[in-house]
Amino acid sequence: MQNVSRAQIDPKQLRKTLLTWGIVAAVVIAGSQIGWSVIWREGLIRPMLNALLFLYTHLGRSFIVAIAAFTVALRLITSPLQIRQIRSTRKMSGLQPRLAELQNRYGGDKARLAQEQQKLYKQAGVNPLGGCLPTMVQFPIWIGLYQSINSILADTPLELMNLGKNVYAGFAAFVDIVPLQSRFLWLNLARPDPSPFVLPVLVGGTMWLQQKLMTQPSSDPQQASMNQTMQVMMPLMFGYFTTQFASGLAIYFVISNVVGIAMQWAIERLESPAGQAELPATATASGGGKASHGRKKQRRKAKR
Amino acid sequence: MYTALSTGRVVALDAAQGNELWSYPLEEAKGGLGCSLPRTGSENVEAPLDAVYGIPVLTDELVLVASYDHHVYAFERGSGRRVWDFAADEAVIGGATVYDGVAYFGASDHRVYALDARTGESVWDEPFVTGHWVWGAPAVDEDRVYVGSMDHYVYAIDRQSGVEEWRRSVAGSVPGSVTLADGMLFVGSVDKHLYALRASDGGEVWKRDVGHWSWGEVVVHEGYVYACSLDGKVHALAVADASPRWDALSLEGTVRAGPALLDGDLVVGTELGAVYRIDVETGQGEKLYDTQKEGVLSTPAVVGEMVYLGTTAGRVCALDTSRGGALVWTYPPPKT
Repeated sequence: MQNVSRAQIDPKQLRKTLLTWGIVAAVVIAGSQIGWSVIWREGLIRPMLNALLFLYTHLGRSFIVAIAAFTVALRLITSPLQIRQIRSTRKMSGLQPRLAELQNRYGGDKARLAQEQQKLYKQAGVNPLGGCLPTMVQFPIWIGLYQSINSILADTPLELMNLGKNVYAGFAAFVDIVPLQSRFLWLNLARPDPSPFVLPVLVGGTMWLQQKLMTQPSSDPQQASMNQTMQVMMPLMFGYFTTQFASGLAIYFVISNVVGIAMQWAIERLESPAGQAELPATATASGGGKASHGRKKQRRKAKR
Repeated sequence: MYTALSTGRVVALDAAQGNELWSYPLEEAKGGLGCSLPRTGSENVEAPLDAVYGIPVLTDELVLVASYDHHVYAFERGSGRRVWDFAADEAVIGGATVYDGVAYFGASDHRVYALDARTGESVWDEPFVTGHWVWGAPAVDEDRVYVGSMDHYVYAIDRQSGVEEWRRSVAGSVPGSVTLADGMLFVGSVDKHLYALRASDGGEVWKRDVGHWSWGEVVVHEGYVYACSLDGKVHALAVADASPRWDALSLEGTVRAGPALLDGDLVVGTELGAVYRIDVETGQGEKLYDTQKEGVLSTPAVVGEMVYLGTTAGRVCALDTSRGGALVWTYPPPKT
C-alpha cells in the first residue's frame, strides 16, 4: 500500500489566504458590475479630494499645510504595512549570511539553491516579496492624488468643472474657498517648478535617502546590483517626473519621503533586538557582524 | 465659420460643406519620435496656439481668438494671416467681446483689458484690476463693461476710462460670462445661485438656487431667462421674479455651456455628447444628435436651421435641424 503524506495546513494561513482572495474577488465583481471608473472616482478620487479640501479649509487655507497633514495621515494609515516592510527587511538582513552560505554550497545547482532558499524563508517566516506591498499600495494613491491635486488646484475650466462635480454636496465651506490659493513661495502648485531644479533635487534626494535606508544588503551579487540600480534609477525617474507634474504633487513626494525616513529611523530605534530571536539559529549564529543590522545591534549594545 | 480646435489650430470652414478655407498654422509636417516640426518655406510657419476655451469673435475684417498661452490673436478673416497679438500676464480663458471697435476681455492675471480691435493697442491708460481671475467674457453696453471675477464680485467699469463704477458681491466665485439683457445682468456663481442684478447700479433684483453651478451664458427670450447647470438641468425662470416657467429639465450628463436659441427652442449639449432640442413652452426635450461620447462643452452656434457643434475630440459637426438633426458634415472629415 502506498504511503500518502498529508500536507500540513496552517488554519491561520488559510484564513489569511481566503480573506485576501475574497477581497480580490469582491473588488473584481464590484468593478465589473458598477464600473471601474465609478469605483475609482467614488472609492479614491472623491474621498481624497474632499479630505484635502477639508484640511485646506480648517488648516489656515494653506495647501502646503493641507498636503503635509494629508501625507502624515496617509502614512499613519499605511504604517502597519511599512512596519511590516521594515521588519521583513531586517529579517532578510539577518538571513544574508545564511543565504551566502547557501549560495556557496548550491551555487552550481540553481533549482536546489532556490529550493533551499525557499525553505530558509519559510523557516524564518519571511516573504521576500513582502517588502513590495507598501510600494504597490502607494501607486494608486499617487495616481489618485495626482488627479485630485490637478482638480483642486484647477487653473483651467475643465479642471474646475471636474472639481465642481467631485465636491460632496454637503461641503458648504467649498463656496468660500474656491478657487484655492495655489501660490507658495515661487511656486504655482498647479504647475511644475519653474526653477526647474529645486523640487526635482529635493524629490530625488529624499527618495534616494529613503531607499538607501530601506534596502537590505544582499549576498546575491545579481540582487545587490539590481538594488543598487533601483536606488539610483527611482530617484532619477521621480526627479524627472517632478519637472513635468504639478509642484503640489512634488511637495507630497518630498513630505512623504521625509515622513518615511523618520518612520524608518524611529522603528529602527524602537524595535527590540528580540525580533532577531524569530530567526532560525543558523541564520543568526553565523557571523551576522557583516550585516548592517548586526552593526546597529552592536551600536545599541555599546550605548547601553 | 471660424473655430479653434483642441490641437491649437484656428480654422475657417465653409459653413455649407465643411471645407477648410484656411488654417493657422498650416498643417504640420510630422517629425518622428513624437516630435512635430512646422513646415518650412512658407510665410505661415507659426506654432499652434495653446488651448482655446473662449468663442472666437468677429469684427468686419478680423477674427479674434483668446488662448491659454496668455495671448489674444487677431487673424484676417479672408486669409488667416495673423494681424496682431497681445500678451497678457496669464492665461486668457474667456473670449473677447467687441463693442464699437474695441475688444474687451479678462485674464487669469486678474485684469480686464480694452484693445483697439483693429490694431491691438490698449485703449485704457491701465487695465482694470479685480481681486482674482476673470474667466468669463464681459458684457458691454454704451456706458459700461461688466465682468464677473473669481474674487466673488461682479464689476461695472466705465467703458471710456476703464474706471470702476460699481461692484457687487455675490456669495461665490463667478467662473462664467455675464449676460446683459433688459437692463439686467444675469450671473451664475459657484454658490449654486443665478443672480439678476440691475445694470445701472448692481442692485440685486433676485437670486435663485439652481442646484449647481450655472457656468454658461444664459439666454433671455420673451420674458424668460434660460440657464443650464453642471448637474445636467435646464432652468426656465421669469426675468421679472425668477418664478419657474416649468420644472427644471434633467438631462443625462453635466451641462457646462449655456443653451442656444433655435427658432424659439433651445439647443443644449452635454458632457456625454448628447445634443437636445428643448421646447421653451413645455420644457420637453428630445435628443437631436449624439456624438458618441465626445463631450459638447461649448454653446452650439445656430445659423438658420443649422446647428454647429465643437466636441472635446476636436471635431466640428454640422446638423440640419430641418431634417431631424441629420449630420451634414464633420471636420476633420472622417477617414475613409
